Amino acid sequence: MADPIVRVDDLVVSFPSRTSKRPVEVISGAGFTVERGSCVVIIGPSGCGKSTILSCVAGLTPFAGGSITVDGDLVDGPDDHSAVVFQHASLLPWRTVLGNVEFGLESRRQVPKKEIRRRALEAIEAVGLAGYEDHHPHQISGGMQQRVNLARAFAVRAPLTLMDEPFGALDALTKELMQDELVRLMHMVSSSTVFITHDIREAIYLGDKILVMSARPGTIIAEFDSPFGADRTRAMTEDRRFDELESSLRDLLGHTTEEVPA
Amino acid sequence: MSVVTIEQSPAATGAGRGRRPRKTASRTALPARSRILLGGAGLVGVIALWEIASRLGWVDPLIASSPSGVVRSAVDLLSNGTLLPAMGSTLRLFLVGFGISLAAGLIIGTLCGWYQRIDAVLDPWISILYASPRIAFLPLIAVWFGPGFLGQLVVVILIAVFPIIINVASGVRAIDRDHLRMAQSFGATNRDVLLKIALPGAIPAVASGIKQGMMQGLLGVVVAEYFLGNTGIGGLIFQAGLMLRTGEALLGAVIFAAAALILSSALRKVESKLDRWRTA
Repeated sequence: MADPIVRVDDLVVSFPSRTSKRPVEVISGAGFTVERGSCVVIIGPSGCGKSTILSCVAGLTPFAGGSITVDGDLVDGPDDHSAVVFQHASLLPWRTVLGNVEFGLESRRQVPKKEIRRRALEAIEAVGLAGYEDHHPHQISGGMQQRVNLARAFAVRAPLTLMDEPFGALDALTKELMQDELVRLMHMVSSSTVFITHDIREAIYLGDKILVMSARPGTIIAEFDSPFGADRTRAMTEDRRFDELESSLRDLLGHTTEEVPA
Repeated sequence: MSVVTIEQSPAATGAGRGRRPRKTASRTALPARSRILLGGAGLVGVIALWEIASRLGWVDPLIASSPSGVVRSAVDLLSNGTLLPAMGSTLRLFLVGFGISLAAGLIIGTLCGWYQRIDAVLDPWISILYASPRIAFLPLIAVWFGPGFLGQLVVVILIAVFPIIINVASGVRAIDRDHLRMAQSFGATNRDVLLKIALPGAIPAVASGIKQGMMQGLLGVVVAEYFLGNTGIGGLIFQAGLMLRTGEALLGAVIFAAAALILSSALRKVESKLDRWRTA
């Protein structure tokens, strides 16, 4: 097997505490790998630090111990190996859809101006927003804003895409639609993906590998390989193995969650 | 035929304890035409009443003047050639003073909002000067800069520049955290963040700073003309007041009010062009 695109070893992250002098450990000794071209989903109870892990891989959050390698290079700050799809679309309200997608490309400074425009238009077309290039964010729906968010990340063509609960705030129908769309896109760009979610069914639907995190201080407590092949369809959800995986994940998460079960 | 009867509750019938029937809240927006009509009627009504009161001797025309008195003053001052030059001199003072304040306010505000060290050094001065009643410096300004155009200019700038600095600085400083993280993830430089996120994001704050600066600047013009050199429309009002020429004084006040209205509506037009992207 070729070497993995992401290797996280014994990651430790701590934040300064408000109440005591000792820093609080939020991630303690997490480790995993992401194979090239695959989609790894990290699932865990809220507040377990799953977004923090993603932020570390993106080079946005410094970590106290361990190491992260992306595409062969050690991570010590944001670099060109990955692109992030944020939980909130984080679109610039004064820029149009096209302008927002171009922002990522402009900041990367990898391609000339003309190419930026071409790639941005291509990405907008790929996420199904052709015709909306000149709209401002407030003129389009939440689902469409997340499409812009996706397009902005895919347009830079990073080998790794990091997704931080991008569909968490969407209504159920839009969410399913976006998941299908993402499956299509991941096939199209053949990028590797790390996807954070707290939605068990979303994890099974999207993940080639599913990592389960414990409550804080978070670490990886279980790893499941998807029983389904590369072809993701809604028919999967009617498969017996889907339900089995769902109930074992639910059991695991139920035990780790501090919150009162609903 | 079977009929389903729904028993009415005592509250609905109002019977039983003799309670008055409730009237549901019925607030709706007043149509725009009615607003304009009522507002206009109010204005015309008060002016008419004033004229009548003055003609019938209910008020002393010498003290209160009258709408026709104001018009007469306007005609007089136009024909003897004092009104237009006075307006010109006031306009010049405002334009130069506000222009300098705007340029200085935008530059200093941006520097303070972006460079935290500059802000640390300048903020005490800005806060002290902004909080203090700057008109108190008037006699000093007269001594340092003379009672002419230069002194007047300093007064206008001193009054107009601070609201602009403070609003611009807070607008530039208030970068959305999500935007910043997004920009960092794509490797944006500090320069990118300043030019593409901080400054465009500051536009609403900048607009409100400019608006405040404009209105304060107008106030500065009046004060400067009253006390330093007695020129322009401000000087005209001051002199007229001393001589009990109330029609003239009121005319000056009306001119300033009209100027303020024109300026703020012009600014609103520019503002709506600049941030079409805002939902509101």
